[in-house]
Amino acid sequence: MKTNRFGFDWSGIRGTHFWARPQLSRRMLFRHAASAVGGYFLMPSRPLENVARAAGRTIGTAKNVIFVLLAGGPSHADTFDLKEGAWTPSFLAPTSYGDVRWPQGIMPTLGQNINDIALVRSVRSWAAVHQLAQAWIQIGRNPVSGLARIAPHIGSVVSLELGKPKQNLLPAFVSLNVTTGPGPGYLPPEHTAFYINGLNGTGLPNSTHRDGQPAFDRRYALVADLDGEQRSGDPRGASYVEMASFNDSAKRLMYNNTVNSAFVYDTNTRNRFGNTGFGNACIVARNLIKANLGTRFIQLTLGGWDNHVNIYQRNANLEAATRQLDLGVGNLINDLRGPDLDQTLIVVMGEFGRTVGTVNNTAGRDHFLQQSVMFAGAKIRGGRAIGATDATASRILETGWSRDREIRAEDIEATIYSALGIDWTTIRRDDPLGRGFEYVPFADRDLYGPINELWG
Amino acid sequence: MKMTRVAALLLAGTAMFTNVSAFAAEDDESQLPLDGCSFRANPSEFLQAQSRVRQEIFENVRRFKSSGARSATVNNASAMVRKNFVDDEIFGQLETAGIPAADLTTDAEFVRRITLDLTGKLPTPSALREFVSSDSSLKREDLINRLLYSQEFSDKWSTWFADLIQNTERLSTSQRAPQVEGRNALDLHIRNSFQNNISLKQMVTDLLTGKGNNYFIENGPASYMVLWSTAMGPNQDTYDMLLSRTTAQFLGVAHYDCVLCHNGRGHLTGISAWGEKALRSDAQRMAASFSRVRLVNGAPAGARQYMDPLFNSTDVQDAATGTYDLNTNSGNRPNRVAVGTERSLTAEYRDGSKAPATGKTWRQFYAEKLVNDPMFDRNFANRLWKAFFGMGLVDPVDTLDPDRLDPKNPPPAPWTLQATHPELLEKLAKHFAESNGDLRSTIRLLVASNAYQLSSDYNYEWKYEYLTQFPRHYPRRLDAEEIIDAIALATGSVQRYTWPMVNNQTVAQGSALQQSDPVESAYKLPDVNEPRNNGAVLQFMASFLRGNRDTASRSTSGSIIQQLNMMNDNFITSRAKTTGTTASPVLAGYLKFADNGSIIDDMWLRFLGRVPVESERNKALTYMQRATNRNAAIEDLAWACMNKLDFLFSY
Repeated sequence: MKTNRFGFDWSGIRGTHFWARPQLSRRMLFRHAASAVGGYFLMPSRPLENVARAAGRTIGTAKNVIFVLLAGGPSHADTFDLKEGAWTPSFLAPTSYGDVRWPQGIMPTLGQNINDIALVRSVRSWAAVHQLAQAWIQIGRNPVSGLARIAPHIGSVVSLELGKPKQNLLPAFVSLNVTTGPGPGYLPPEHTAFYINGLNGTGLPNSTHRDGQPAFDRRYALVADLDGEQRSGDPRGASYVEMASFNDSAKRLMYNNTVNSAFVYDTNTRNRFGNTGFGNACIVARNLIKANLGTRFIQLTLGGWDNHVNIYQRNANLEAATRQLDLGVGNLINDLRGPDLDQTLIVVMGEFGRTVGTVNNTAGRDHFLQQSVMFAGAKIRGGRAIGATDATASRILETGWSRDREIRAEDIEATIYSALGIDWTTIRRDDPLGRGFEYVPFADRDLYGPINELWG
Repeated sequence: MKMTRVAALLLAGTAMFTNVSAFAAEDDESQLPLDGCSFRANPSEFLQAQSRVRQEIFENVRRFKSSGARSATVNNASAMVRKNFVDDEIFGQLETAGIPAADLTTDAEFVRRITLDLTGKLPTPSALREFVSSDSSLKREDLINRLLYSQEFSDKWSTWFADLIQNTERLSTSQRAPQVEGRNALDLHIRNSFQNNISLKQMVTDLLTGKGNNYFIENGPASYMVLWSTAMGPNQDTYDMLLSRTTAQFLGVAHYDCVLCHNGRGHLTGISAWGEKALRSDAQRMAASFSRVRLVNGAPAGARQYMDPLFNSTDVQDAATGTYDLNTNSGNRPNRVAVGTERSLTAEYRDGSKAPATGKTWRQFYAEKLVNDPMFDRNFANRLWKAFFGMGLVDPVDTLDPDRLDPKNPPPAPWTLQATHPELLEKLAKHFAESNGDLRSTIRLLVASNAYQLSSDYNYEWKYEYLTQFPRHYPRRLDAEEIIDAIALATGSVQRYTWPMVNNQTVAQGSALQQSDPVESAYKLPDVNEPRNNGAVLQFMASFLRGNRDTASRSTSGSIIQQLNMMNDNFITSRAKTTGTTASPVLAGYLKFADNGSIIDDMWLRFLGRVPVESERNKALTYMQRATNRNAAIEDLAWACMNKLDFLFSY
């Protein structure tokens, strides 16, 4: 298959139904044609009789998801799909763990945890454009599509399905260390991500009053007094006053040790996790999982992967980013190991991979559609790779799963829902466009599905 | 459903194995049997969209009550004075339905509301006092005119328009990005237009026909073309994107996005009377208006990253030739295939007229047709109505159905006219058209009516069915910009904002980016991701859901984070100070007041835009008398005013 510099291969797409974006080599086309399923071969998915059975059968081992977005697109061939050549600097220290080749030099902690990690290497991004691809993996569908205008963040769907706002102190969808991202789409606004930034180890930001608790109590009593009947219900029998109820919930979070302790960490812990913004966010993620305050989907974002220039510069670029990732997620896995890890699916992915083989003319790597995704937790079978690429990690040789095609963002979305026990084939009928909203696009055609092999 | 599709494919089976391209012809979505279509619409489910919007507004109305302890009454709609045709239609329909109307606003209520709604600012205490004490029978009209021609009006409504067209430096769908330079130039163009009362028709024409290098200040409109360039597909995807966005934003018909993938039949059946007959090829003919746009790298040959100021700029050009070719089999939309023998399309508008061979470009042709389309007038009339009355006459506002809006040509049963007040929408649209798209003139008409000037207090049983009849005013939570400006203005502690003038690829790597001159109102910011250089302020504003002009739209919903911020954020607490480096000049000034009552009166006027009601005044006075520390008491009261529920609302 001839690919251009960015891994685009249009040769297999000519004449294909536009939905069937997976690129078909002639070999695969006739392989399916020979399977005597007739015209259905052009949709490289399961035969019809499997569709009904697949739908609704979820894995359901996870209560929580930690989604780590590696913003910028990490070089897969230097990290999760290590391929060595003349370009490989020695400080990567490639080491074998069973069949898995791993850059122990730049990610030692994760290397030590390799038995809890599964590397999925047959993933391909749809787009080599940062914002497009980042949006794509967070909403689990094409951001240019008509539905994207109403599509929620995957975390918002999790919040809708698993959140219990009245019982729990914290919202189900929390996004640490960024200020914005895809919204809840057409879902009710309470499923917006709860953005928490400015973590400094002393507590939930803005949950204490700068002038001290006595001042706060005094002031709060004053405003409650002044507002009087506005904060209570309409005497004509209506429900609670929405703003006042958010105010009540906010107050419950303040000076609340149970909540606050999730955001407090000492210097030793902070240093162990790397003493960075990302490391701090990993500590809080760990604490939120352990404290079980209602949060089910935690997003962590780590940038610095867009290494077009000097990718192998020491203590910068790739090495700096992997160090943060390694200390953060590596210690996260260490600290969660046990029942907490068994009930938490960790997904670590960027929006695409990077060019392979010899570096470019600025000693860096550019955007590339081939990528890898790291999974841990939720009782997946670790210590191995699913799927395999060629000598430079340029293209897929083995897909590693039953659908036998490259894995897409939509499949990862389905995997997340399935792990949480959410039926990924759900089609909601309450959307404003009036056409039905699928959690995973083309759910009824079984075009995408979870990577069950993670648990196999 | 699936068997039908597979059967259809099997029928063509043998051809497919040998000639893959034969499948492409089979692939035309519009040929799919209805049973094979998983996107089939269901009318009762569509109506959910509209009722969901109404349900939300209904809940909001029920949940907010102003603190006015006035004994509100309600009135027979027949007794309400009718000042213009808005009143004729609204009160007329209320009368027919037997629904009572609320009282009119008191002067004090009116000043606060109109100043916020028109200019996004709280009225000053002196403006309040002056208005309330004036005897003139025309004082409301005078105030409206003064506000309409103020700088603050331009600021707020420029932001409103920039939100509508989603002006930003890049979208997640953009192939080429306008960048900061292009966004700034377009923002400046919008603000200049509003300041000079340029008609909306001219503004939209400018956007649709903009050209030249998009970084240049005088080429602001060119960035609109660049913004909607579409990644991951052939040029036709960009033409389609431009068509779908312009029809949604300027005609109010978002369903063009559907029709650009497939005919409306089956998909829009029961949803849109126009849509169910709409043809993909007709939409594509309109999209062809953009098929001669060329987006070319605007940097000079040899321009280097981190050096050239035009790096990453885009030159928007009009080519002399070009058509919309029906020959794609990749990208974001289904294969484009010939229509009969037509393999390429030329520009045509939805009224059947064709672009002339000479005399104007295809974009100019499209722009002229668009701004003179009756749907253009209805679209803006409806959007402006929603901005002031809380709910569109058609809601959601981009679901206008061209075949269901004209009372003189009603659709056949079982279809009904779409608007809650069909005659009113037509008259508003006509006024807008006759004023040549004059924003101020149309807004004046709306806010001068008694229907707008009704109170939000409604001392009568409130039912969901009343919602669409507007018998009272519906309170709205203030936007992030209004809230932050209100805090700064009330405390007298001004906040200054700047934003970058260049993007970091046009200057030496790592160098500081040149910033704009500072401004003192958040409504002067060119984008909702500014001020990016002040993270604390940006986060504070972001909690009030400004959206991102891309994947998240602006919202007035509440949240826990908003409440945590109003109670504890540094932006508030640092300003609730009588002394110290961040002291509020206003609060510091109160220290010199001898009389506690005067402090309370002035504080209420300044922060809440009204006088305190008796119970509030007594409670506040008691609080001050009991306080051991007078400074702290003043600070506490200021904090309390900002945290009162009504601080965040226009009602």
